[in-house]
Amino acid sequence: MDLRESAILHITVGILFPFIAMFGFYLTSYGANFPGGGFQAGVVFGTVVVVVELVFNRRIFSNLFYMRLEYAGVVFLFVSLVGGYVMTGYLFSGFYGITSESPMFSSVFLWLLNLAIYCEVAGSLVLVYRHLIEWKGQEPYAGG
Amino acid sequence: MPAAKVVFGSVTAVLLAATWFLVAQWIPDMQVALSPAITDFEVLAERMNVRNLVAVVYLGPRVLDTFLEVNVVILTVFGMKFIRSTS
Repeated sequence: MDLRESAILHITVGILFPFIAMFGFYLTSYGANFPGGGFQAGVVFGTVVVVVELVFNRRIFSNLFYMRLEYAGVVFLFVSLVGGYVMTGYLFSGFYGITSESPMFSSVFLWLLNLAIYCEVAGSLVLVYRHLIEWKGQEPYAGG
Repeated sequence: MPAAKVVFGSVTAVLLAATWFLVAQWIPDMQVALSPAITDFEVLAERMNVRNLVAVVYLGPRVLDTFLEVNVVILTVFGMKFIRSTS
């Protein structure tokens, strides 16, 4: 039997998907004060999307969506890099002082950095998976 | 199972057991020695209002490394696209 036809996999992955996606966002949001961070959260989200696509054999959003997600993260990182340099003479350094009492936004800039890294890594992971799964390249060392 | 594989597995097991034994012997005398640089990061963490010291280093003084690390992931995507377009 094909594993994709397994009812256990379908039900388990279907039920767990929203919780894992939310856990990824939690890791991003509280990465400044608790274990976690944007990179790990992006990997968590990207992996769960890949698992769902494998099990249900359907796409969750188009390549364009993940490309835009990826670009949004990169653009924010680049803008904050240049903006920090313009403001203070040091890369990224202009925005670290924006803080609040909330545990989630205790450092607003760190939260935004984590979010940008999250978007970038999640988008990239899904795109790399899709390119690999759809790639019909030549056989390596064919005829050699 | 080939003899070489058995010897290799046995040597690995002995080494792991010896390592475990040494660590178990060493742990009671072990003391945590923090680098003096840690105090700087603690001050930095207070200024940034952040409690996770790893995040302080990762997104603070080493943020350029993080940015470049993220760029590596992007390059992977572009590499995959390039290979697909040429194959």
